[in-house]
Amino acid sequence: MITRIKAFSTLILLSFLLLTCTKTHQKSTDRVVVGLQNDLETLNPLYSMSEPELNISELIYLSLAGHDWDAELGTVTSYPLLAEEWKWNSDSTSVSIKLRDDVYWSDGKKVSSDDVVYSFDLYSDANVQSRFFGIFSNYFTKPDLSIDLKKSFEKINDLELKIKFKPQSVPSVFDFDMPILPKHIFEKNDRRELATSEINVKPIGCGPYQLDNWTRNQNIRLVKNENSFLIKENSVKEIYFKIVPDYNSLLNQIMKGEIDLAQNIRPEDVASLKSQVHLQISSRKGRSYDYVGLNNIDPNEFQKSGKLSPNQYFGNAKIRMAVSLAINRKSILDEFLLGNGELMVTPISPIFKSEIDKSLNPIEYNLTKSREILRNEGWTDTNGDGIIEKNGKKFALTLNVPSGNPLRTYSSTIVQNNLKAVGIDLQIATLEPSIFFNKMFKKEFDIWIAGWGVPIPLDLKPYWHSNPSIGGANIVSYTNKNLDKILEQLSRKVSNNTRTELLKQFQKIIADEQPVSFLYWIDTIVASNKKIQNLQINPLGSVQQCWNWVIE
Amino acid sequence: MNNSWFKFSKRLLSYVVTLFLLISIIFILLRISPGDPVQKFISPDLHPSVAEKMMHEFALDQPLFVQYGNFIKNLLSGELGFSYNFRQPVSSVIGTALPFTLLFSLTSLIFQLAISISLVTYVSKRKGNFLDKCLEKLSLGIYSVPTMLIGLMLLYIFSMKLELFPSSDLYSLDYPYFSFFEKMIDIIWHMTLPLITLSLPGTLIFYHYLKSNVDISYRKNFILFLIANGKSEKEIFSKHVLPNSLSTLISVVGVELGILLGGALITETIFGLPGMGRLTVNAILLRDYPLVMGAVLISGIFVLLSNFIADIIKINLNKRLKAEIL
Amino acid sequence: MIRKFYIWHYVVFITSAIFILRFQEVLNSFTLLYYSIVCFFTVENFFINYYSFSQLDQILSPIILFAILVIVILKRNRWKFLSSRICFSNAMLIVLIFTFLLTPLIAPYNPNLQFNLSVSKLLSPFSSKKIGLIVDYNDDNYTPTKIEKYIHFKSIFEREVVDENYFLADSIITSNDINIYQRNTEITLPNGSNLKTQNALFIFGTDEFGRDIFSRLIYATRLSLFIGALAVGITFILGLILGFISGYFSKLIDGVLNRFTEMLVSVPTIFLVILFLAMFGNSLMVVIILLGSAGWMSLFKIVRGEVISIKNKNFITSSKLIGMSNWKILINDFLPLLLPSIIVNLVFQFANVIIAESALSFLGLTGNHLYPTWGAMIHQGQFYLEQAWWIVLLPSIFLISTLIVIYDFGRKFELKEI
Repeated sequence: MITRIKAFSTLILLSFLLLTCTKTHQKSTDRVVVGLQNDLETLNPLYSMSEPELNISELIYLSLAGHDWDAELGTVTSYPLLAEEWKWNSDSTSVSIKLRDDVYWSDGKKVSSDDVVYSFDLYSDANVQSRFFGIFSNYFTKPDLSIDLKKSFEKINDLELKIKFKPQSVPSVFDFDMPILPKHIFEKNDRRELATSEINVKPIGCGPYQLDNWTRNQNIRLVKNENSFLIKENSVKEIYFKIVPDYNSLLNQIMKGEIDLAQNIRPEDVASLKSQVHLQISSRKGRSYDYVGLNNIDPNEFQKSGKLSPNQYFGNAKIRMAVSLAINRKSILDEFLLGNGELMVTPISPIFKSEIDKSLNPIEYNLTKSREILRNEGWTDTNGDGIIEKNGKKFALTLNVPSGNPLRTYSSTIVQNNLKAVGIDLQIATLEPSIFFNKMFKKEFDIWIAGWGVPIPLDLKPYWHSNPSIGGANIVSYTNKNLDKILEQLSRKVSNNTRTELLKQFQKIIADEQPVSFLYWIDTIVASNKKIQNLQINPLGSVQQCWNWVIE
Repeated sequence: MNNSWFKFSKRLLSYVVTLFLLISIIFILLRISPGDPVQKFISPDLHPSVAEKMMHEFALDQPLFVQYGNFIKNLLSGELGFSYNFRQPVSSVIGTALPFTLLFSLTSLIFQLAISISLVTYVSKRKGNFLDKCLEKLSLGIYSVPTMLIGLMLLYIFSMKLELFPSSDLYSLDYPYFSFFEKMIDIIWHMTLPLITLSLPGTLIFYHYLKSNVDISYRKNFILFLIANGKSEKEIFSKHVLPNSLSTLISVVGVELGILLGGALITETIFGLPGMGRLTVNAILLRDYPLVMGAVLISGIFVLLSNFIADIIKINLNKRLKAEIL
Repeated sequence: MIRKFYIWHYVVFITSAIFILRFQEVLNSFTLLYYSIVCFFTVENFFINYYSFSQLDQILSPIILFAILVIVILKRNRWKFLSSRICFSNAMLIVLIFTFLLTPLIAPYNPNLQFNLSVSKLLSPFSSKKIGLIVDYNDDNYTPTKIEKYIHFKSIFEREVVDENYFLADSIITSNDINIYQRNTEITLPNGSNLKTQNALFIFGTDEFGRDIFSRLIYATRLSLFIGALAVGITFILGLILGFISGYFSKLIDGVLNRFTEMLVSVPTIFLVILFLAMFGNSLMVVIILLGSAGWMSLFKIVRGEVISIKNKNFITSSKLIGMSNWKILINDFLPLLLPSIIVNLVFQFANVIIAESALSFLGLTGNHLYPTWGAMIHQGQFYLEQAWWIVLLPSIFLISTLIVIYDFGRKFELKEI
């Protein structure tokens, strides 16, 4: 018995000794490790929805054009990738695209314009159920919303083609910047089966990086494609995406240098990360914001009969202003986000420097003013219980918050507390995200906290138009005819001056009417290892143009 | 002999029925609960019909009966369906998580058994010594600490402050480059803290049960007889006392194994391990119905199997219990 | 030396300590009681319009305090428990009972009171700050009515919000003008303002919202124990009735119930629990019912076993013959015999429920209740483990001590019956 213990312990000791010996070498130097918190579901651009999926699938499959961010002007510029050059015609209804001559798929076949046409065919086909389905409104489309290939595409030769757009539309590079798929591989599958085919996990691409290995829930390993024109001699050899669901261990590995790049660092960890010599902290500003949703219509009426009648609490713009005045956004920004964000005025992101109206200021935190407005609208506390009433009805509601988001959980508590000081009683209900968003889109809530990510380039119509089929994301059902007109004008061809003027009007209306109570723009904090050169961390992303990365 | 086989197969049948009932109930529960798997397809970026198409693809727009019928039909032909989130067959998704959970649970079980049996052996040789008293006082205290706190504490002390052990995952970064021996060491190094977290309560329970059984056995008459006959202490312990005391332990082991196979959820969450527990919980939260059904089915099978094996071992150890169990 | 004391010495000591430390609150609650009674008789519709049950809680606390003192002193020789010696379990049990009954009295602040974040975020234990209270000037001619006095007292007692009249500051300096320092900001009030200053001591520090952890812990103790007790109650009813039915009536029902129970045992309970939580939401009632329904299986087996072995005894048959209903037979005949083993099982089940509830809250599955539980506090604290480890440590200590007490008493009951 004793001998058994002795033998066992010596074995363990020996193992640890051996372990420490072997730990020192084996660190591959030509590799960048990116930390992800969730595994991807697919590497197929047809179905890529989350940001990592888009990033990685665009490394494997090339797009016709790539995008750069101009921080000074706050605009997006495009540069040629798969396409060597493109030329718009005089009235911008068609574009001639010339492909590069030196791009090959990983099985050896050359990339041709047939692949381009086929890709758009797949993207818009209803049977494929791609994430891009239905958004090709600038193209000639058939009744089932798929692109009419004959009308839209004209193949000149294997490397040149022309795309024709609908007249009266405003096409841009964004209409054809999707990743291009290999026709000869994809056409082997039944279109309905594409979602579950092997291609999703074993891709054949033409991009600067190839998939070497994908161990589910563990890691994804990309190696550089020597044949790609983008890869230079000193491009990083291997990009390794490590999936670490637990945030604390992700942080730990960043500190120890086991992970070189990771996004969504929590604000409270920034200080300790900054103290590490090998790390660099950057922020991607202005891509997402949080807000307190105030339903402009009565949810019960809407559920029953679909009628839009004003919400008894928030149908009145003054009450909404009172709510905005009572929320101490700055304290959340300072204490939780630790300054990694910006107070929000309107839904136009501050990164679009040329388009925001700098004269508008965020709503101040003023409890006295808020109470006064509420009193003027008839809400007073008659029985001293701390909750204001009007006509016998208490201003007591349920604040709905989706779970799993620390910022929203935190801000819900603060908002509840803030509004209590003016007499509005909120009970917090934390719902699971799938249930929460289900109910939110059905407009069942009176008041909730949620957020949006904003697209680049600026797209306001889906969020603020009063027509439900156009403004699908206008959850609060904010209705303003003037605003609708402005939004419709913006989607047509207008001069730059008109555009700026229209946007100014838009912002003024929103700031005065407070359709929702905007909280703050949230910075996405990125931690990176200083050894990686040429990192591009901007509002467009952090894992981009990886072929330029060099390890010093 | 015929009689016992008959009872044996009756038991087996009842297990199958239990499993069947289990899956059916879970199936119905999942379908009637709010929230659905196509939620992430509803967003301003995507066309509204994408969500509808998804519903159709998952066959969720058909009546409950039809869905149930399809499911049972597939099940009987051995196919567990397709996971919504992973876009892969459920069997391969479970296949990535199950080996780990099995490895983890079995290792933990062996660890618990080894430690508790060794402790009992050591303590019963020298009755009333320091270790005995110590364990009695401490075991209550340690047992009261819930798993999550043990995990957090170990993580904090050994991983964050002392940096002796890694804080998550199963492998280090360079795992594919390791030789076989180094791979083994790497896995052991990563598994140390989770193993301790998972095994601590179990070890204490085993110790407690085994010790009280051993104490009871020692007082029995036939032991006195053997001592009078002059048999050595060691022989009495290993050949007579221990086998008689093991029966209660075996049934506890059976239950414990079932719990362990359930995924040791909290340990997996704290240490970021790729096991069945986390897989199932995430599947439930994301409403990935086929995956949940498959995972629950597999867990159920293993739990029942372990109970069954525990029963068989008990019978073999002590033929008198045959009547009671069968 | 500590062993020389008896429990009742200890109880008297704690009661006096609470009375002395919380003298102001005791006085306040008696004033509140006086005003409520006066208003009840003078103001119409007082009960409906102005009264709320949280006041009942606060008013009852000092009454319970004195009641305990009186009862313990009177019964100190009669009740065996009170004259036994102090050990860790006994002492902790008394602490828990006091925390459960006298919550509003012991907790200095409202558990949801969020102080100004810039001053109060994540303070360490034993931090001390200053509270500033601006009191509205009352005109000398204006005598407030009884109801207004009542409202005024109530708002003092139940400070729920921090606003511009009641705030926390790092330091308040009164010279000519009043200067208030809140970390980086300095507010100056003109000389005439009626500012009262108090000392705020945060015994256990604050959390990330600036809420006092000591108060939260007291309320969390109450809620966790409450959930445990109710869930065990549900388990008791379910296990007893189902076990009785299974053992007493026909073999068919017995077989069906047995299979059913086996099926439930074979599933890792936690999955079912998570499923139900996802389905029915995570309100308090759902959690309690779920926890109660997850643990009745072992009680079922015990009750069933005992019922089967007793049911053919003579006194049962005679009860049946004289025509007692089955329900009465259960209560009068079976229950006294089953009670010892049931109690042992329930005590351990209580521990299991508390562990299960804290595990579920730790995983974040039980959502936001008005008051926290231990698990919820640990869950919120785990993100701040590096900076503010006391947020996790203190509820854990309470949790572990409670479990030790329960196991200790469980074992004592177990041994007593053998």
